[in-house]
Amino acid sequence: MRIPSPARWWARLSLMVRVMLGASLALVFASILLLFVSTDQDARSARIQIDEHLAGEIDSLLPAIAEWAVIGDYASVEQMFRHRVRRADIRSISWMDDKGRAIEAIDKDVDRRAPRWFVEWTGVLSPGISRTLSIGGRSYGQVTVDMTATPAQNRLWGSFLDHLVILLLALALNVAGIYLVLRNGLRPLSVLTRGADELARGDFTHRIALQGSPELAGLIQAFNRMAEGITAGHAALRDEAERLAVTLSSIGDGVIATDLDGRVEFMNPVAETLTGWTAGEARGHSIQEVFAIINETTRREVECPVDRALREGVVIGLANHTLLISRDGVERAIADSAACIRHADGEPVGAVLVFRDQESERTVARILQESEAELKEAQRIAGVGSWSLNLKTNVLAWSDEVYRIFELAREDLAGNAVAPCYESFLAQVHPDDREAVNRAYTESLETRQPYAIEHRLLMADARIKWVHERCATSYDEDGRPVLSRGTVQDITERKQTEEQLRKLSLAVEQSPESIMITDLEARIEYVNAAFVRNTGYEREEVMGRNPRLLQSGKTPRETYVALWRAMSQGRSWAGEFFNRRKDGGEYTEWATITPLRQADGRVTHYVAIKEDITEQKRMNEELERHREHLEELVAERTRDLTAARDEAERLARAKSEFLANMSHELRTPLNGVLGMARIGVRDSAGRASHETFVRIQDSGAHLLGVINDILDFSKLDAGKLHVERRPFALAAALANATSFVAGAARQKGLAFEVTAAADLPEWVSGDAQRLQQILVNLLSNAVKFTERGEVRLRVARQGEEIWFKVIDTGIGMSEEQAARLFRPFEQADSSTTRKYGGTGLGLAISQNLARLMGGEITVECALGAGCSFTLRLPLPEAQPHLPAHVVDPAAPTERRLAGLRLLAAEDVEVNRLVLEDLLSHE
Amino acid sequence: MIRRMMNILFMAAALGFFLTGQAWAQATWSFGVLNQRSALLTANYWNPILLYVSRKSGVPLDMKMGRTAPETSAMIGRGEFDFVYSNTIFTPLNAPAGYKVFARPIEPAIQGQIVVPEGSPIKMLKDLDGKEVGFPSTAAFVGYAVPMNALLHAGVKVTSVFAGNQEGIMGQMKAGRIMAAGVNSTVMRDYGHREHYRYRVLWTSEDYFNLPISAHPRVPAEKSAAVRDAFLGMAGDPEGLKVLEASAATIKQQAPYGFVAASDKNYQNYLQYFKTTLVTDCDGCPGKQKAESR
Repeated sequence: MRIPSPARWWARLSLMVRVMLGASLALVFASILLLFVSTDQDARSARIQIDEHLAGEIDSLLPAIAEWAVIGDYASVEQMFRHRVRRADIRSISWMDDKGRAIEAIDKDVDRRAPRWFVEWTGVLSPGISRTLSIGGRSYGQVTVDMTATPAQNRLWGSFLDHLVILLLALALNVAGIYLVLRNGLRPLSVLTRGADELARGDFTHRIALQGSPELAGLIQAFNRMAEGITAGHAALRDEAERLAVTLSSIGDGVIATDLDGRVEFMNPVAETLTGWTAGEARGHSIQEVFAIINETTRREVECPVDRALREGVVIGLANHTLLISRDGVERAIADSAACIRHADGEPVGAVLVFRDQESERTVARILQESEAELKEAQRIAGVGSWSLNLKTNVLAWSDEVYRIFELAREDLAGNAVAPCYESFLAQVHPDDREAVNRAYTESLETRQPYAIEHRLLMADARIKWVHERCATSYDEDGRPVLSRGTVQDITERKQTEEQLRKLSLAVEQSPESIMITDLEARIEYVNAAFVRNTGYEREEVMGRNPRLLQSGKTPRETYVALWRAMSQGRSWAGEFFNRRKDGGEYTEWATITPLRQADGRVTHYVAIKEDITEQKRMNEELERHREHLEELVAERTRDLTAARDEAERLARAKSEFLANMSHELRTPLNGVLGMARIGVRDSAGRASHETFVRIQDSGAHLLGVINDILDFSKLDAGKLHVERRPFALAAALANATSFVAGAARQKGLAFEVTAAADLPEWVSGDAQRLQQILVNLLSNAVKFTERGEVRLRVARQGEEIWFKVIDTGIGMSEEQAARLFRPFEQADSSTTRKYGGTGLGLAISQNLARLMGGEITVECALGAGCSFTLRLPLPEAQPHLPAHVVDPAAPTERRLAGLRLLAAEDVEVNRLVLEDLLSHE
Repeated sequence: MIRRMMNILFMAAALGFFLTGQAWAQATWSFGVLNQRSALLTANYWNPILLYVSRKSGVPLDMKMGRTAPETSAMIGRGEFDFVYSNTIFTPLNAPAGYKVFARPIEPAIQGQIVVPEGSPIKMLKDLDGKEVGFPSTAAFVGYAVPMNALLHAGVKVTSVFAGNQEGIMGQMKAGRIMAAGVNSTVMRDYGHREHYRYRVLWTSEDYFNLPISAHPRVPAEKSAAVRDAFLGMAGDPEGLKVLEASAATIKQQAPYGFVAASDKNYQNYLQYFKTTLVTDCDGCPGKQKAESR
C-alpha cells in the first residue's frame, strides 16, 4: 500500500475536515500552553510566598527570643517555638545555644496529594534557614526554621486538575459547533462557482438568486454588484475613447503620437498645419522626418524630444531658440514637450509630442522686458520702489527697488521665489506704526481717495528705516476695489537730518544759559527761553532790535571796544556785562560771543552765550567775610575745652580719693561685723541663735563681695588696679576656684564637672588670685542661672594660651542680651536682676581683669539653651615655685599659737575684740 | 580481690569524671549584672565589654542575669556568680557571700533622687504624703532603698509602685502613670538626655559610688587580678576605648568611659545605710531579711 505525502493527503481533504482538524489542533495547543503558563505562575507565587514567610518568620523570631536567651529562660523559648510551629506552613523551629543545649519544636506533617513528577515540575520545595543569634557581639547559638511546602503543593495540584477538566470540555464543544456550522454553510459556494463561469463566457446578464447564511447571501449580493459594475464599465470605456479623439482634434497646440519605434500614429489638425503633413501622410513615417527641428542660433539639427522621451521614459521640454521647419520649408519658433505614453501596468507603448508656435509671444515678451528694465533703472535712480496689490487674488508684486528698501531677497536660500503679500508687508512695518498704516490704507479704500503716509520699517537687525508711501486704488464697474498701486521711497536719511536739527534746536532752546543770535548789524534774530526768563523781555519785543536795549550804563566802555575789536577780527570774545532787565533790576552776566561762519568761511551771524553770575558774585563776597570770623571762633572754643578738661581731671582725682576713703570706712566696720558673726557661729553651735549668726555672716559676706566689686571696678576705671605675674600651681588654683561653687551646684541638684586636659602645665606664670576671681565669677553665674542639668568647666591648652570654658545648661540669653553683658551695671535684663540679684559688675570686672592679663572673655549663648563662656589667658609655663613652709589643711587642728605672746595694734574697738577672741582660739 | 580492684577502678573513674566536670565548669566564668535595664539592652551593653576583657585577661567571662533585679540579687546571695556588677553585695543578706570590690565605673558618685515631671504641682516631699510613688524595684539601692529611707525619715507615707528596672519607672513617669519616682541620679540624667525628658529634683541623697565590680572569694587571685587589670586598662587602650564608646552609644551613656580601681572602703556608706535604715522591704534591708527568714 502506497502512503500519500502529507501535502497530497491534505489536498484530498474537504474544507470542512480541514477546518475541524485545524481548529482542534489549535485549541489543543492553546489549552496546553494556557495550562502550563497558569500552573507555572501559581507555582512561582507559591515559592515567593513561602520564601517571604520564611524570611519574615526568622526576622521576627530572633528579637522575640533574644531577651530569654540572655537570661537563659529556655522554657519560655520552647513555649514560643511550640506556639509558632502550629502555623500551617512551619515544619520545625530549633535553637542550638552556644553551650550545645538544643530546643526544638516540630509540627505534624500533612499528607501530600500531588504526584512526585508534579512537585518536581513546579519546583515548590520545603526551604529552611539558619541564623546566628548574636547580641552585643556575643553568639547565643543558631536558630533554624524549616518550612513545609506540602499544603502549597496540594493546592497547586487541585488547581491543575480543575483547569484540565475545564479545557477538555471546551475543546469538545468547540469541535462539535464547527462541524454543525460548516455542514450547512458550504452549499451555496457551488452556485457561486457556476455564476462566475457564465460571466467569464461574456454573459454579463447572468445573476444569482440569494440563499444560504447571511455571510454567503452577502457574498452572492457582492457577485451580482460586481457583474453590474463590469457591464457599466464596458460601456463607459467605449464612450471615453470617442470623446478623447474629439478633444485631441480640438486642442490649440499641435499633438503627435508615435509608437515605441518613433513612427507617427496620430496627428491633430494644428500639428498638420505647423508641420505641413496630413495625418494620413504622416502615419507610419518616422517622427524625425515629420517633425524637423534646428537650433535657432547654431542652425544645427536638434535631437527630437520624442527620442529622449522614449529612451529615458521622462517628460522632455524643448531647449530655447528651437525652430520647426515645415514640409514646405517655413521656419517657426516653437515651444514643445514630449512624454512617454504608458500602459496602466506602467509598460511604455509609445510617445506623445505637444508643441506650439512661439513667434507672437516672443515679440510681446521682448517689448515688456525692455519696458521693465527702463522702469527698474528709473526707480533705482530715484530711490523709489513701486508695488501693486491685486485685491481679488491678494497677490502683491514689488519692484526690485522695494525689495532693496525692505532689504528682502526675491528668493529664499533654497532658491524658491518668496511671494510677498499684504500681511508680510505689514509685518515689516514698525509695530508702533502698523495700525496707522493699515488704517490709512483701509480708509483710502473706503473713501476712494489716494493717500500718502510716512512710517517706519523695522529691519531684521533691529535698525529702523523711514519710508514715504503713496497709494491709489482702481475700482471695477460695481465699485469694488480691484488693484492698488503705490510707491515707496526711503527717507531715512532725511528723517535723521531732521531729528539731528530738532535735537540741536532743543538743546539751544532749553539751555540754562541765555543764547542770542544777531546778524552782522547786531540785529537780534533769535533768543532762547533762558534769555526771555533772565531779561524779562518777550521774544517779539527783542526781534530785530539791538542788544544794547539791555545796557545799564555800568559796563565800562572798554568792554564794548574789546568786544567789537574781536568781532571785526573774526575772533571769539568773553567778558562781563552789567545789564538791566525789563523791570529795571540790574544783573551781571558772563558772556561768550562767537562769530558764526558758513561753509565758505563767511561770517554771517554772531552768537552770544551769557550766564547770569549775580548770585555767584554775592556768595563769594559772603564767604570771604565768614572766613575772617572763623579764626576768632576757633580760638574761643579752644579756651573753653581746656578749662573743661582741667575740671574733669580735678573731679576724677576727687572721686579716687573718695573711693579710697570709702574702702577703708566701709570695710573696717564690716570686718568687725563679720568677725563677731564668726565668733557667734562658733559659740552658738546647737542653740537656736546659731541660725541667726549664720545669716549675719552670710549677709555680711555678701555685702563685702558687693563692696569689693564696686571698689575693684573703681580701681579698674581709674587704671589703678594692677595684676602680678608670679609662678603658681594651676591645679591648685582650679581646685580653689571650683571648691567655692561645687557645693552650691550640688545643692541645686546640678551635675558639676571639671575636665582638665592632660597636656596642661603644672606651673604657670600669672596672677592666681585674679584668675580665681574670674573663674569664681563665671562658675557662680553659671550655677545661679541654671535650674537643671549641669555646669562644666573645661580647661585646655591652646599654644601659649590656656582656655577655660564654663558651660551651663541654664536659661541662656539672646544675642542682644549677650551684647550688653560685659557693660557695667547691666545684666541680661532688668527682670534678671530682680530674680537672681547681683550688682551687674561681676562680668565687667572679669572682662577688665582678663584684658589686664592680656586675655579676653567671649560668650556664646542661645535663649533657653544655656551659655558657654570662654576665658583665654596667656599663661606661659613656669618653673615650680615651692613655698618655704607648707601648711597641710587636712592636718589635725591644734592650738597653733598656744604659749606665744602677741602684740596686736588696732584702732577700732570691735576689731580688737574680734582679734583677741580669734587669737585666743588658735 | 577482683571485686576490690573493680571498686577502686569505679572510684577512680568517678573522681576523674568529677574533676573533668569541674574543669569544664571553670571553662567560662560567670559575670552577673544587676537588672538596671532590659536584658536585651544589658547584653548589648555588657557583651562587647566582657568579650574585650576576656580576650585581654585570658579569663573567659559569660554574662548572666536573673529575670528581675530581686532574682539577680538572690543569685548574688547564693554566690552563683564568679564576678558581679551590683551594689546588692552589701546587703545584710548578700554580704555573707563575701564578694570583694576591685573596680568601679569611672563615672562620678551617684545619688538617690526623688524626681517629678517638670511641670508637676508637687513642690516638697510632704506633698507626696498619701500618693503613689514609683520605684525600680526593692532591689534598687539608690533608686528605692535610699529615697524611701528619706521619705520615712521625713514622716511621708507613700504607696510604692514597682516597675522592675530603672528605666521602666522613668517610662511610667514620662507616660503620666505615676506622679513621682525614686531614681538613680545618673540613670535618670542619661534617660533625660536620651529621651529629651525634663524633670525636677525634689530631694537628693548623699554621694554613693555607682555599682561596683566585685569577685567571689572562690575566684583565684591571679584570675581576679587579670580581670581587674583588663577592666582598668580598657579606657587607656584605643581598642578598649572604642568598645566602651560603642557600648555607651547603645544606652546613650555620656562620657567619661572606663573603669577605675576600687575597694570595699569606697562603699562603707552602703554598709552604714543598712545599719540605720527605716526601710523594711528593700532587698537586703534587715526588715525584709527577717520577714523572709520567718
